[in-house]
Amino acid sequence: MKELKIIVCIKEVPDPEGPSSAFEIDSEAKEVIPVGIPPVINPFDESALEAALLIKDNYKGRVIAVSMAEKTVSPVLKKALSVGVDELIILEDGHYKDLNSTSVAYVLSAAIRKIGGYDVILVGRQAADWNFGQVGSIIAGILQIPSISLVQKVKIEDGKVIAEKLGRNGYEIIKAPMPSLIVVTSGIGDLRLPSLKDIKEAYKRPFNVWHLADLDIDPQRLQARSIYRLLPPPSRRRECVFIDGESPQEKGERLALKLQENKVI
Amino acid sequence: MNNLTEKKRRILILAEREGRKIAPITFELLGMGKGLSHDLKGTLCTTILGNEIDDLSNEVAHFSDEVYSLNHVLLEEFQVDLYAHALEGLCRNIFPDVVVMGHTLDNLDLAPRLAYKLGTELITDCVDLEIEAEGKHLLCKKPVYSENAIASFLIEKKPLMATLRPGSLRDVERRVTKGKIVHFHPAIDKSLMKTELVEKIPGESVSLDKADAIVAGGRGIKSIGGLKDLEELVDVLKKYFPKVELGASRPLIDAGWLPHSRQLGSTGEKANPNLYIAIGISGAPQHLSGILGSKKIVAINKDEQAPIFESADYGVVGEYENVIPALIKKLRGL
Repeated sequence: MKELKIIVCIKEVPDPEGPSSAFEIDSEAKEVIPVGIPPVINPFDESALEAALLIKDNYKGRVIAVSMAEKTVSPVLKKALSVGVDELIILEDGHYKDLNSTSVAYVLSAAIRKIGGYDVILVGRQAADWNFGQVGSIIAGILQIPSISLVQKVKIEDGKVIAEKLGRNGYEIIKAPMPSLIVVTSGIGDLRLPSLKDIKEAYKRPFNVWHLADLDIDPQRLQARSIYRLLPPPSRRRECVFIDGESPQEKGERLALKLQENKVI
Repeated sequence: MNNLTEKKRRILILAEREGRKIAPITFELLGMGKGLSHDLKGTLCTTILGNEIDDLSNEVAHFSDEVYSLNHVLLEEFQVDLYAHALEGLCRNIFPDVVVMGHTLDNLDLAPRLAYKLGTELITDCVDLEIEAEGKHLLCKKPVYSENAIASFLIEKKPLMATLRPGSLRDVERRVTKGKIVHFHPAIDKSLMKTELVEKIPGESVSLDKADAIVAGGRGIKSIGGLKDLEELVDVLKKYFPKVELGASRPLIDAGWLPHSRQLGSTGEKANPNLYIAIGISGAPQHLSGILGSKKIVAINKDEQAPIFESADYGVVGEYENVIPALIKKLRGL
């Protein structure tokens, strides 16, 4: 079998595991400003990366990661190189600020076309910042290739993509010809950890930067997200009654009594 | 969606099926659609896709002004290429101003494809659609940044497309009279299908949204064996509640210990039980969004700083391995 060309789209986001206080809301500028939390690779994109690397483990393949932003923090993306990605392409341009999903998919598709000769494209289910979850499906539409959504496991067999697609109750096994686009959900397993040596080497490795002018893109077609208003979430606060006790056992017993006393049970 | 004051509007709702039944999210969508059509002085239209669906079309007609019944043998099961193509055909005929569907697993893929085909913009995972103060525009409201902010988007394109997160809890009244049913023939054939279904692997069918009490575990549960205590607690609670279920936050689902249908949170299910017991769950906003409708929330966590306590009614700081067996024993004796 020939070497597979696998493209993974990844995005930097402020760590979604950060505490709520780390997300400051500037309602005037309609922006969320992360405070004191580092940028990370979007968790669902890490799942997509792991899916790509699992394919590479089992077949001959070359993994190319593509990331797009107005401005990127390259050390974060170098994590991709440290875990086994062969090539990193950063799409960076002032025009890419606050684009809507269709425009993001348009830029990524242009980069994917420029790379060319791809067999599988992997995309995370949704990004932890704006949470739109539609870029993958739109890329498949633009490139006119088959796509499988919500994939929790993927393999290549007889030149076809075989994927497990998550359903509400159970899952489906779906087959598609190559090239295909796979939208990855969690459940594929955590992204593998790089060794210290891999991290050091990745830091020294070069990556490509493609600007708007390097791609076949009509800047007129790029549209921004149309945010009208940005507000803090409604309060999630409740008054918590803490159950005291000398030991965890005693607390457990007292909890039962408290629930009964307050007619919760 | 430009100026709302212009003319009569058409609001199109996609009805969801669960096999031969109308899925509950449909009625939430119809409730929202009814409000919208009233505010916009528009027509509430519903479309339903499937094979031999006359009975279902008749039923949704009790909630709509117009029903577009897309009946085709190939639409029996959801297949995204066929569904997107059929709906595109319908939209190009009836020109809806607004298209709303549920934020369900199938529609995560269907909605963006349809939006792309129609050359419009889609806002996913909305918790509300509302008309802005001046009454000119429809806004789509959705949580962003892992539920840490709420953004309202204004879409100028037509149709305005949105997916609505289940659990918005809007009720809708069934009318005695029925709206007009239109049989719309979808121009589809097998050649449109770009992927092939090899096999359907059924999983456990759980309805967390119907549970009266839920015992849920999170990252703090260290091994799959730890779930035994939680299962036992589920059992003993059956003494007090008709329907008690085991749930989880995402880490336990990703570990493969429990099926996705038991996941609570923004990428899982939303539930509104009378009692929710969160065990070893830190309380990230993404999880809380699925459980805040609970009447009473009990949190058991060894980390007293865990954010879950800020959103709980009762808190126990302690190792669940010791707290739960004592709780179970006491509950048995009460």
